[in-house]
Amino acid sequence: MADELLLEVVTPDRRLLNRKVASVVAPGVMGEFGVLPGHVNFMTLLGTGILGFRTGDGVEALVVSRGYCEVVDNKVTVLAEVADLASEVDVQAAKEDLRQLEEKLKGKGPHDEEFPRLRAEVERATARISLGGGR
Amino acid sequence: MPSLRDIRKRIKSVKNTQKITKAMKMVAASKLRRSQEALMAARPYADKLVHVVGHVAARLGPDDLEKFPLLRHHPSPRKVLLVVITSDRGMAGAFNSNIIRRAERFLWEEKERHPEIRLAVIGRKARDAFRRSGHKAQEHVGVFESLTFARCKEIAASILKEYEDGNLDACFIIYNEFKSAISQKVIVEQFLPVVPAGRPVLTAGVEARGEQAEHGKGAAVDAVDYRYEPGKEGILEELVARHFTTQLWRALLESVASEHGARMSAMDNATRNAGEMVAALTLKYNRARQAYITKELMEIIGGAEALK
Repeated sequence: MADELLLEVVTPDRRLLNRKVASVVAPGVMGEFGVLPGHVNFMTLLGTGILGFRTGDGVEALVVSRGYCEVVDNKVTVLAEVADLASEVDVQAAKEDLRQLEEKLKGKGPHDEEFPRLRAEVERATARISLGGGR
Repeated sequence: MPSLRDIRKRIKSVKNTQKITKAMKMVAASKLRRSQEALMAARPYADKLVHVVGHVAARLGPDDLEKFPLLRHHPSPRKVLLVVITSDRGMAGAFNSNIIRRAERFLWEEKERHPEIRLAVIGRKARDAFRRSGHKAQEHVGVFESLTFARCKEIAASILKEYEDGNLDACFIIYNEFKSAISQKVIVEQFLPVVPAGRPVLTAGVEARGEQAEHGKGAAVDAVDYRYEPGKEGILEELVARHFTTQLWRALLESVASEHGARMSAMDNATRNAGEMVAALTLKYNRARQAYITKELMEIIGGAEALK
């Protein structure tokens, strides 16, 4: 059995990652889950949050949003609609986004048409802030 | 015989045209590079998604298929949507007319099999063409001014909704596939219901991409089921819908890259033709000039002769 995983992260406009890692922690819609080598074939929807992975040199992370995660034969494929690498996160901009979103969310109930989308945006902004080391 | 001044004017105007076509070629070349990069960047995602859908679809039983209209094939699709993708601008050789001709052929040929074909057009050129020929169509114009995934998603969502409401049995897309900077290929592809793994297509002579054919095979062989979280239903529904959106996105990017490629070669030809025309006109100009000089000389000599 292989002792490492191949992690691939792709979004509609680029391939972010394609590398060997030791383990992955991903934000599933039903809570975070971890993947180690030898994981059963598995398929899930991803929520918005921080996807972390461990390599020989340490732990790295990125923000993913609205995607899928497929685990087959020690290959972890993440298809995310939006993803930001830690190095690309601009905490200031994320905070600004968050502020604006909260503004927009004011006075909107959970039954509002826009609510789910705004909610997801808020989660993404929050994840970006915490990944960037803010707050 | 045109006068010298007329010829000089012609030469000047042809040279000006040449400058314009040359500039357009340069612009197209730089846009081509950018759109080609965007296309290449989008391919891994699209391919992966095809791969995943193939995996999952290969593991579905017949009862599962019943539950997913997006995967279920209609025995005799009556209501069909044909999405025609052209560009917003012309000056790209046969780029748009090829597409429109193919679309018209589709309408003609498939009339029997699908009695109710509706049209959706993306791009101004297709809209104008079908308006002229009096077809009704859903129109999406101005998509290419700023091509974003969000816009593509809107279009995809509106098509998916019609499909889910039962107003559509199938959806085909006609677009230019980007082969290389100088060649495009008109493709007719079935997008709905989703054809998992590989890209079996209506037109002849379209090779399924090798990699995808392999995926299809591999998936059929190792029929190990996945563990799904949450249930299979929830995932598949979204997955297939997203697959559709992504394929549409890919088609749009292919079309944009092809457009710039086509325009680049069209403008290259035009520049060359203008050069040839300038050469021919210059020759004519010199001849006329010589004839004029000769004539004048003869007149002077004739005049001097008469004075003797």
